[in-house]
This record gives sequence, structure tokens and C-alpha cells, in this order.
Amino acid sequence: MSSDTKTSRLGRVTKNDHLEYWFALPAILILLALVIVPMLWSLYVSFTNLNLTVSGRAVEIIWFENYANLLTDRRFWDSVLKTAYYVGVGVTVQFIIGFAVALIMANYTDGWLNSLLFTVLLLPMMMAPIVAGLMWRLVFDESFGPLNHLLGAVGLPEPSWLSSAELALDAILIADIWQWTPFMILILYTGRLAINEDLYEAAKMDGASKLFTFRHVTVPQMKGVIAVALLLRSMDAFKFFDKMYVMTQGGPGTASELATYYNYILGFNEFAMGKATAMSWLLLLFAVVLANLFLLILERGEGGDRVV
Amino acid sequence: MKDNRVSRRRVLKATAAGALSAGVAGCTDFAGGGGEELTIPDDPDGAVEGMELTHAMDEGHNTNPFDWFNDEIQEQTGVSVETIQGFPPSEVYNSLNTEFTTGDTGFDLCSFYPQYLGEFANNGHIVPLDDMMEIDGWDPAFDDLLAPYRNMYTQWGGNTYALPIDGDVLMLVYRKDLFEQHNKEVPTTWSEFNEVARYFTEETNDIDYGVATFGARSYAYGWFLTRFGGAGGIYFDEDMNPQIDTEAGRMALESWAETLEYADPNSASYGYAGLRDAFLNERAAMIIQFTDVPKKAAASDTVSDAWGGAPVPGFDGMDPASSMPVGRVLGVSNYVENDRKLAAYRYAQAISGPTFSANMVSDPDCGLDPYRTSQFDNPAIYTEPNEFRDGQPDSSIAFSSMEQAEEYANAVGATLEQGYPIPYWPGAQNYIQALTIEMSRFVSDQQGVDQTLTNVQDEWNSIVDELGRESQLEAYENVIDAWQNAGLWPS
Amino acid sequence: MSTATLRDRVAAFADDPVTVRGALHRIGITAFVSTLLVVTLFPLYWTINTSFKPADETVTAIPTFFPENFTIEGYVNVLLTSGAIDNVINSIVVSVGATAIAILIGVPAGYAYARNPGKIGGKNVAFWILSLRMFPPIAPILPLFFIFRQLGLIDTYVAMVLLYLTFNIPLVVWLMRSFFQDVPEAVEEAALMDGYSRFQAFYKVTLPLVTPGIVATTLLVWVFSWNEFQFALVFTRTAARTFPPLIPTLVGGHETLWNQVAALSTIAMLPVIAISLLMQRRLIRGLTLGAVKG
Repeated sequence: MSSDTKTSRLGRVTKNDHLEYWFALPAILILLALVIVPMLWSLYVSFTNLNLTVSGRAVEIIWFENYANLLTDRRFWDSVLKTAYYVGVGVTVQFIIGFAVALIMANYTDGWLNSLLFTVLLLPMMMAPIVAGLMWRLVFDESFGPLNHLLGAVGLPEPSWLSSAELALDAILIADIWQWTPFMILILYTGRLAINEDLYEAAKMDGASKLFTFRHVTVPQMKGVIAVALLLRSMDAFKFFDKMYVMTQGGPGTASELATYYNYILGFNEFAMGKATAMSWLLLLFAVVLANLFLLILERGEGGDRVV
Repeated sequence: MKDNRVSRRRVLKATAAGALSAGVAGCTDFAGGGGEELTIPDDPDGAVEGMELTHAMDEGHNTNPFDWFNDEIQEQTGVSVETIQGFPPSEVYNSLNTEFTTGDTGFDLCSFYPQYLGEFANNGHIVPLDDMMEIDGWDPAFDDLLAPYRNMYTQWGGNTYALPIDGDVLMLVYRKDLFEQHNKEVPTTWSEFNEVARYFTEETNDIDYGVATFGARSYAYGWFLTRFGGAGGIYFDEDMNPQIDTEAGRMALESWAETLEYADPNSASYGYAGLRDAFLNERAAMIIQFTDVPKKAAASDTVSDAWGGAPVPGFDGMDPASSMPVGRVLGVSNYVENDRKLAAYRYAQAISGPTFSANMVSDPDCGLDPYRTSQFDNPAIYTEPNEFRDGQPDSSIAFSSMEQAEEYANAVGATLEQGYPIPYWPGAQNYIQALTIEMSRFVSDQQGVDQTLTNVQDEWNSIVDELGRESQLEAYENVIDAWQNAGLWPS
Repeated sequence: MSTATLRDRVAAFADDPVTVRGALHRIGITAFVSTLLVVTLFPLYWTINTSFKPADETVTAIPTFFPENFTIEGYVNVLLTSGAIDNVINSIVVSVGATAIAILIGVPAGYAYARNPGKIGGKNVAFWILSLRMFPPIAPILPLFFIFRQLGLIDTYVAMVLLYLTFNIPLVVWLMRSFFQDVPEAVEEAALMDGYSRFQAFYKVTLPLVTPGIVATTLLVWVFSWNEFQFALVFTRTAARTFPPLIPTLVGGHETLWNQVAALSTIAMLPVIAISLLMQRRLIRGLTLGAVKG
């Protein structure tokens, strides 16, 4: 916080030198060159009919035709809806489980057990998503995977995890929840720890029930952290790709084809570059809108000076 | 100070603008667009002596022949394959095209599915081979090629562009022992086929299901086209209107829907390996698959010689059709040095030629299937080990008895006679992709018959429009002409 | 958080009035936490289990929960026959290179944004830098693919390192900014008063104070680079291919060598597990993007 105001002595002393400038320059230049400029270029391409499978055809500007085609493309909306489902359900489940575990760790377990939990729970997050996807592919396999075998052994039905249109998306979702719930646990647990214990003492002395304490002490105090957790995970969910690729390739049919996969297909399967870049800009737009919504909520909530 | 900061910001902006315009200028050349013209040196054999090639193809057992025959081919021609650049079988098109469009490929030789032939040839990505075919001793023995393969796997626009190494056609593979046991006749129509499927699924416990079908996005189109062709279907009419949402398409999907009622429920996710294993692991009594299944079955402990082969069924009173999806051909990259092109062709000519190919199509340790007359006229090759493999292992023997070898040769020959061609003109890839996605959705029960037909029809229409109706019609008509001349297409 | 020892807790438990509800409560929680642990560890265990089986044991109708014929052929075959050893080496080169450069460039930038963001665009630029991490990779991949292929950079180490900088640098800047913010300015002021230049103050005084932060950031950035898939899939072929794109080529197609794939996955997991075990606390801050001081 002190770095934002210029009243510190450091501020007065350093106002006239350019150290920060030189320190930040390489980073800014590289990001400009590798991200901003290419993205502007891709914006241009999205207004053309560039298609790499048709050699020798002059590239024409077709303005918003790519966008119009996408917005009327059933497969595009399918993939967006699936992405929405995946983000909505996935993040919610991760949040609920994560919060539950975080509270348990704060109130019921401690010391060595918490260390153990931390260690174990950290592991899925650190795996390569494609490796995590592969592990679950092995587990979900209907012919020789352990899951269906165990289910069958206790008399439960053995679902077709990866080969039925209904379940394929959920199967991938399960793998993703497995991988990212630990993230929620970590953020929420550390956030919970930051709450002043006095508040809880006071509530206890006033005879408040556990539920009451939760609703009126824990949640309000953690508003900022909760918002950040949800924001970060939702944004990350837009990048979802690896597990789809290795578990189902978007199949069966297009049952598990999310937006990022369809975008990949447009670009590197059909080489319809104009359409593909248009789609990536549409996705960016959705992501930005979502992020701004969250920020609005953030700003309304706890000051947030530690957060952003 | 203020001035300093402002001018620095200007510098930043200028750099950005400069980078952008450099990018724009540099990126105007979008597709490979053909390499240099080929020249034949005076001493071609000498020119290619000692060359070591990079060969790009799909990963898996089909790379084996390039190991088995490498030493021998090097002795005979002076050329060998040093590196195999592998990619997943579903990524053949992307991987090759990504490199072709850069105008510079890391490979000299490549293997791909014939459906890309028209596009690669048209875009100048692969080298026309005719001149090299004329070189003394470099003849590819085209007379020996079966007509459908010579026609569809090698020619474009009047030139030869590729050499075949794998002839794929769908055939019916069934459990002979179970058929005999239950007194079932080999089905010749789709209704008989569905009836047999129902019988084995519902009325006996000897096997789980009567049938399993393909469902994965990779090649599901082939399974549609085989019924579609049998129902008299054609791709487009004289005005390039798609002809999928027609009586023929409906017949095809309805009979497939009935099959699915009795089929292995995992069919929706079955790709090549899944479907084949459904038969090998005794889940299904019948499958329609590529012609390497009998070889794999004979080599397995489970099915062994209990397999039977037959052509794909048809519709009552109509000519049956066996679709010919996948298949593999060898092409030479147009973006490497002249002498490397020669070497790549020489290698391709050798391995695709009668001597070596006879050994690879009869070896169950790879999935390459027969495409030469000599491979059908001489069934004994399927009972002999691969003479070019170290130690001539028993695992390279396809069938233990001449009887099986003959049944195999006959069945494959019969199914090939009713071959139904796959589109391979420039842009064909788009139609096939659209078709296969919709068929995959159909098999996984995401949509019904009507929806599927409508979707394909709409998508094919928009593809035609996007690629240009005129040029597509022209390409299509050229291809149809060739097919009609070869007797593969209704006139 | 209480620091009671296990003994105290047992004693407290014994003294606690036992209620049915309390007992059920505890059982419920124990069950929940145990299930969590099992579910978390099961896929890892299963992968390692598969990796030590011979290929045909991986596809038996009844899965074996411990290899009947324990073998390391999966590891040997994937590394040698399938050539994964080259991929692993490429992964090492690319991830180390990308991490080193990201740290070199990102740490100073993080300092700059911690101290005087106003000079270089203010808080908005800082947030903009973080938001780059949120782009779906396909967005920059498409144009970069064009540009890189014009420059002949497809399938090179240079390309991969540059590409990874696009998401590594924002991460480093973001994390180091919060670490630097923890260092009181008074420390630097004192140094300046002692005659140090600003750079010296940074280098000799501030930097050593954030060393733990740098270590944590380095490891985090390295893990992300090690695990990255999409860029590697599109931009590498054979020469610079890292291990993640290799995995799908071993799956599906004609026959899947599950033991090899599992072996490769296990090998890939090892450095990550090691880091995770050793650097728990430090990593938490990084993983939560410094959003919560932990």
C-alpha cells in the first residue's frame, strides 16, 4: 500500500530516477512482442477468409462473416454451453468441497494431520493436466479399469464413463475436480486462517451456533478470498484442453467437446484460420466479461487492497 | 524529464507498429504453394546412393515394415529410412499439412490416407512421380495394382502422385464356429445381418453380443458410406448439391440404427483398436472392419482359426458396396532437395513393389493390407513367414493353413469387387470430417436419423459454398469420370 | 490454530463430555477426510501400479491391484523403444531455460511494480500483465504459429522457451510484486542514506530478503513449464518435442501400451512430487498467486 502513495521518503528520493523503467522494460517488450502484437494480428486474420488448405487463393477481407458464421454455428454454441456447464458445475463443486475441507482443517484437525493433508492434497494440483487426464483414463476404462471393477464387485452398476454421450463430459469433469479442488482448499484454508480468532471467541461467548458463526463471521470475513478463488478457477477453466485431448478427443461424437477443443479443431484440423481466430476472440470476450463481473463483485466486497 | 518519458513511450509505440507491419508483410505467403521443379540427373542410382531419409507417418504397428526391410532396401537401392517422424493416426492430416504449408518439411517421404491425395497434389505439396517412374529399374509395377487402388490411390489430374502401401476395404468378419454351431448362414443383406445380430445378442449366451460397430470420430464415415453405397447413394448431383439427405441416406441410417439396438453398447467409443478387440476378445460374433482383422484373429489365442470372412452385406435386390476408408499411400515432399526427392521415390517404389509388399501385407505384426493382384493370386504368402525379418519369426505367419489363406484371399477379393470409393479431391477432407462427426454423434445416440441427415446436408452445402461451387464441381466431375471408367460408380 | 500435542489432544478428548452427536460428528469428519485422501491418492497409485506391469497384464478383464509379474519393461521400453528419453531431455532443457529467463526478466519487473507502479503504467498495467495468464492458449497460439513458421522457428528450443515466457513472465511479475511489497521501504531508504545507489540497494539489500520468494516462484514456474501441453503439441515435431505431447501418441491408435504410458507419467510426476514434498509452505503462496498471504 505504501508503494502507491508518494509520501514515503523513498518515493521522494526516487521520483526522478528511471530504475523501475529499466527493470520493467524487458518484460513489457517481450510481452508486447509475443502476446499483444500477435493478438492484434490475429484480430486482423479474423476478418479474412484465410484457410490454409486452399493454396494460391488470395486472402480477402470478409469483415464480420466469420463471426456471423460462428454465432449461427450449432457446434459453436454447443461447445460454449458445455464450457459454461463445466465452469459452473466444476467450480461450484470444487468450491463446496474445498470450503468444507478448509473449515475442517481449521477447526477439527491440526498439527501433523494438517501437514499430511496439505502434502497429499497438493499433489494433484502439481501434476501435468495431461498426466492427470491419463490417470483417470486408466481408472475410467470400461474394459479393464479398476473403477468399474470395484463398482461391479459391490453390486453397483458399471457406467460407460468414456463411451456414452451422457457421461463423457462428467467423467472429464470428475478428473478436473480431482485435480483442482486442492487449489480451493489451499486458498480458502489460508484465508480462513487470516481471520482474527477474537471474532470467534466473541461469537462463542455470545452463545452463537456453529451455523450462525459461519454465516456471520466466516463468510463475511472471507468475501475477498472467496471471490478471488472463484475468479481464478473460473478463468483457468477457460483454458481447459489437455484432459479432453487425452481422454475423449471431444467424443463420443461431440459430447465432450468444449470451446477450446472446437477452436483447436478449426485451427489445426480444418486450418480455417479466419474462423479459428474469430472464435478465439469471441472466447476472450466471454472471459473478459466474466472477469469484469467478478471484479465488480470484488470491489463491492472487502476493500481488496491485498488482493489486486 | 517529462520529455524523456514521452519520447520513450513514442519509441515503444513505434517499435510495436514496426513489429506489426513486419509481421503483416512477412505473413503474406500463406500456404506452401509448391516447391521447385524436379530434374532427373544422368545417373539417378548414383545420385541417391547412401541417402538417409526422414519418413513421416502415423505411429503404431504400421511403422514396422520400415524397420524390417530397411537393410535390404538399402542394399538394393542405396536408400534407407533413418528417422521415422510419428504422429497419432488421427493427426495425419494436421501434422502433414502444418508442415506443408510452411513450405519446408522436416521429412522427405510421407505416408497419408488417399483422401488427401487431391488436395496435396493440387496444392503442390507432393511431387508428381511420372518422370521418375520412367527411370530404368525404377518402375513401380502398376500393372500389378488392383484397379480400384491404381485409380484412387495414385492418380490426380492426369499424373501419378503417390504409391500405395495399404489397401483398405471393409469386410465382414464373423465367428465361423458359432455360426456353424447355431446353424446360421452368412448374411448377404442388412436385414439378415441385423437378424443374426439380434439372435446372438438375445437368444444365446455363447457370446455377449451379435455385433459391434465403429463409433469413434476417426473413421465412422466409412461405416456409413458402406451402407449408403449399398443403398445406391451418391455424393453430389450434377449441380453439386449434396445427396446425403435422400432415400439412400435414410435407408443406411435406419438399418444402422437397428444394428445398434443389438450391438455392443461400447460401440460409440470404438475406434480401430476397440472394434477389432471386440471381436478378438470374444465380445461380438460379427464385426465389419478392415481386412487385417482375420490376420490378427488368426494370430490371437482367443479366436485363432474360428474366423470367417465375407463381403459386406447389401440391401435386398441392390448391389452391395464395401466402402474403402483409410488406406495408405506414400508421397514425396515437394519441399526438399532434388536428389532427396529422387531418393524418397526410390524407397517408396521399392517398398511398395511386389517383393517387399508381399511380405508386409501377409505379416500380422503390421496392419497393412493387400492391394496387388500378385498378393491375391498367390495365397501361399499368407502361410509363410516374413522372409526379410530377422529370424523369420512365426509371429509373421498370418495363417496356419492354406485353407484359411485361400478363404482370406477370396473374401477380400470378393469384398473389393464391390468397392465404394471415398472422396479425395481437394476439399474432400472437409466433407469427410463433417460426415464423420455427425455419424459419430449418431452412433453415440446424440441425434437421430433425421437430424443426422439434415446436419450433413447443411454442412456439405456450406462447405461447397466456402470452397467455391465451380471449382468443387469441376474437381468432383473429374473424379467421377475416373471412377466410372473403372466401373466403381453408377453411370 | 492450536498447537496442542497429540497427547494433549487425546487427553482432552478423554475428558470431553461424550455426546452421541459429538461422536457422530467426529466419525463423519473422519470418514470424509479419509475418503478424500483415498480418492486423491487412488489415481496416482493406479498409475504407478500399471507402470510396473508387463503390457498384457494391463488389459486383463479383471484388473490386478498389484502387479502379478512385476517388471520394469514399461520404463525401459518407453524410454528406449519409444524414444521418450529424448522427450524428457527436451522437457528439461525447455523448462529450465524458460524458467531461468522468466526469473531474470520477471524479478526486476516485479520489483518495479511493487515500488513505483505509477511510472510504468500504474496498477492497470499490473493487472493487465496478470490477465495475460488468463488467455486461453489457443488465442495466442494461432497467430504465433504463423509468425514462428515464417521465421522458421517451428520445432526449436528457442521457440519453446519464448512461448513459455508468455505465461511465465506474468506469473513471476505478479508473485514477486507481492513478495517485494512485503519488504518495508524503510530498509531501502536506510541503504540509500548509507550511500548505496538504487540498484545497489536493490541488489544487496532487498533481493536477499526475498530469496525464499524467488525460490518458491522459480519452482512454481518450472512446474508449469514442465507440465505444459498445448503449446508443445502445436509447435514441436521431433527435434524439440517435450514429453506431454508424446503421451497421446502412445494412447489409442493400433494398440495402447498402457504400461509404457503409465511409466512415462510416473517419471514425469517424480520431480513434481519431490518439489511438492520439500517446498510445501513456500509453494502455497505461489499457488494461490499471493492472493492470500500464507
